[in-house]
Amino acid sequence: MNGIKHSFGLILCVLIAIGTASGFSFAEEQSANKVIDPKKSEIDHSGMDHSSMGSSEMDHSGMDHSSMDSSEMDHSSMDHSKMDHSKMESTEMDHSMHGGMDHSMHGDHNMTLDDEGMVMNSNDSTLPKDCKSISKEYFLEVEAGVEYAKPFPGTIFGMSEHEFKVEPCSKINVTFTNNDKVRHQWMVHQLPKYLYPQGMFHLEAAGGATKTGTFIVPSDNKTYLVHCDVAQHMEKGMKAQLVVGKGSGDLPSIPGVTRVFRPDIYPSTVSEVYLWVGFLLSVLATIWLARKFV
Amino acid sequence: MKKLVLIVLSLLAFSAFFLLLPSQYYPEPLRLKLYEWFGAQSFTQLPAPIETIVPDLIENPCPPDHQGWRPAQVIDGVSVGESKVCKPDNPYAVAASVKGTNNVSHMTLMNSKFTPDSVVKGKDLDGDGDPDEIHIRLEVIELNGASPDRTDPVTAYDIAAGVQPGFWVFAPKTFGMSTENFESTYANNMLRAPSPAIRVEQGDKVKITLENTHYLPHTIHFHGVDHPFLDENGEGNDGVPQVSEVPIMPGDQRTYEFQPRQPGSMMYHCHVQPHTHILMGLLGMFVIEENRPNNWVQSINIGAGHVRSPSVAIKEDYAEEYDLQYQAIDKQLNEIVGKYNDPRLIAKEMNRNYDITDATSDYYMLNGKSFPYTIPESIIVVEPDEKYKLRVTNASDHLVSLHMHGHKVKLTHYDGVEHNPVAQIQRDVVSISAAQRVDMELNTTNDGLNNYGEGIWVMHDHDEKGVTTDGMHPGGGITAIVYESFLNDNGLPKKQGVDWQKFFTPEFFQREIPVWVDFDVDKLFAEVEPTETSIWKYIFMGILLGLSLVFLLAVFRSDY
Repeated sequence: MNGIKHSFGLILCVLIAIGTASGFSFAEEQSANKVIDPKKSEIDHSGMDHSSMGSSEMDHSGMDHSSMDSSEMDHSSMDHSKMDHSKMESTEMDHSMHGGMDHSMHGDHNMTLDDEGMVMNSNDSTLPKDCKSISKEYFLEVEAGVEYAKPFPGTIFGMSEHEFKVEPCSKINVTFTNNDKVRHQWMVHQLPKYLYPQGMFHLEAAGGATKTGTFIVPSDNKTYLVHCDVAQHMEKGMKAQLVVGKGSGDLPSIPGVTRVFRPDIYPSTVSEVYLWVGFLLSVLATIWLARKFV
Repeated sequence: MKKLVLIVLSLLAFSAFFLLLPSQYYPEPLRLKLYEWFGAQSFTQLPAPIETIVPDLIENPCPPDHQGWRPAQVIDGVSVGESKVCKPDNPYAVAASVKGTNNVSHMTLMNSKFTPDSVVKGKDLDGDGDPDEIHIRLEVIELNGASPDRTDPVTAYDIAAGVQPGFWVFAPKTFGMSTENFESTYANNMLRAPSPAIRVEQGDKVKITLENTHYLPHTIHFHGVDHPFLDENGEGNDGVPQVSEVPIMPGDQRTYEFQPRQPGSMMYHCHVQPHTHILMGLLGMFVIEENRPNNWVQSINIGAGHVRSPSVAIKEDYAEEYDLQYQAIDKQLNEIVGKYNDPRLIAKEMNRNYDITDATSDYYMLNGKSFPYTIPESIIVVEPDEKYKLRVTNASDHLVSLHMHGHKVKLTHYDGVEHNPVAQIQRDVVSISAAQRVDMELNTTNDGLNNYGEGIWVMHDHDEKGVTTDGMHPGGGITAIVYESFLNDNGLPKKQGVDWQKFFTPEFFQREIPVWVDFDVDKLFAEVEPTETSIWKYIFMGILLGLSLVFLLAVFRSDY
């Protein structure tokens, strides 16, 4: 008879402890275990303002191209043949040749910058050293904006897709459309530096603009970080991964793909007082057992 | 009988414990009695001083000017004045701010980091040789924010060595990464505190577009700037959510329009939850320069400070012009953005849990930096017999009592309005209330009134909290008026007195370095060596104390 009573007390303690612990993890499980497919989620595009997409209203007629050579820089090694003077609003130049210029801010890049944004290190022909040919060609259409954050509570900015899977040595054409009215970026890091200065391929689209660029990935199985580097945009949802081949392991904190690495501590549905109730009960039960049997 | 034994044992144990205590813990009457009975004790050395070694600096606080940013130069036809400080403003950004990002060469734009539409200067409406249509685009940037992937702050920004409070700032629209490069978590030099000083000319048709790149809603209120309450389309133009317009949500933008008829030193700031958003750093100076022919003004002054391309009107009366913004921030407020990543939790903590009426400021800054980081960039470099225009703004929530050594400044304008010239007063302590702007004329004529001669004359808030960083002095918004004869070629003052190396180390602000360490050669005020004690002695003392208690309790349990 006594034995039944004892075990009842113990079971009660254990049950309370389990209940308390599960109450704590409840809020986390809700967000972490439910993987939402961004493609399947229903997004309302009706409220989007497409009229603002061609929002640049700038007069470039006053642009002083004559003064370009008067600035105190070494232009001797500059490759003027690659400059496209016919398109004044998107002057392209080869920055990789500027030996005498201090590029500490932007390194040596192949970059085009205009009202609509920027394309950096676009490469549609040079193969990585380890690739004999292009294995496959992809055309990725990525959209960015606050509406893509809606399926993921706790994020503010988002992309239409947060994971891209491609074959090694493949050629990737990215069309990046920004549905917001602020800048967004689609930036890949840690590509080979001999081919992509600073290891970056980078598209930046102004509010309402679309930018297109191409890059060729090397042959190794690797997972690359893709993000928007406007302050706090990656942290608040604009983080994705590019999986080449088998990849090299998932990156954390990617909306819809992987769990947040350092989640905040969220309020729980159960008060933590119950943890102490359980603790107290188990102490009392131990004392009770000790007095009975010792 | 047994009880008596137990009591005696208990007392013995307690006495033994007591005797093992250092005599400092004995009650005063007992110590006097002991002295009476046994006389003075024999000499023992007090704890020895220990040497504190000031760590080597990882970075040169005054780096050489590899980029050639310091000398006076002409970029795209814009004359950019010499900057004599260690860390000058980027002259390409200055040139692009003067000429307009739509009018400069591609090279200048690339070197400035502005986007082509950041500062657009359009038509010359009055035909006086300068553009009168100005369209500036601003973003909102978080510095020292949280990350779900790491514990250190991201888009990092130091106000002093190792001091990284969270900030929100307005920043000009720029392209590329927010950090210096992929390896660095530090913000690029366009993203910093304070929000940039904006300059337009009186009568300009001004458009300011706020592109809300931040994850919370914001607006802009143009404080003191002549602007209509509603714009031409009937949209709110005053930035006040309660009466004018719904705040700009993340990813959205709004354009404010006005044509200021009066010149003066004004401000712009966010008016959403102003008791937190302003103090988080969403406040900058807005200067309207007097209308003059051929007056190309420097529309953006990154980090405020020296105006490298002053307006025509300023050049008529002054040798140089300086924008000075005093700021203060409360640790409990600014650490919220580093503590949480989920914007819902940040909003709740800021809007509902944080109570500003219980707040005290911890970090005091001048132009986004605290001493000694003010010195490489925010000193006022002067020559004798000249006049300098100082536009001073108080963006903090306390009264700044600005005191300058060696000078008495003349207060020419309050809140952008000229003080009656015959009644203008001279002071060496200037009270600047919260949100107030005071224009000062710094006259370097050595006449015993305006100036007492050349030197390195410090200038600081005389509310003494303002010269500390989280209570450590020297810190806060201390800077100096430095005469050129007292300036080294590298831009640092030829100072005398104590060594500064310690001030540039994080350890100093972590309170690990005795403040007089460099000149206290005999270690009179050094760190004290801890008293050597054995662990066993402490355990033994603990056992004695416990025994005395056990014996005492046993008295009540004994049957006799």
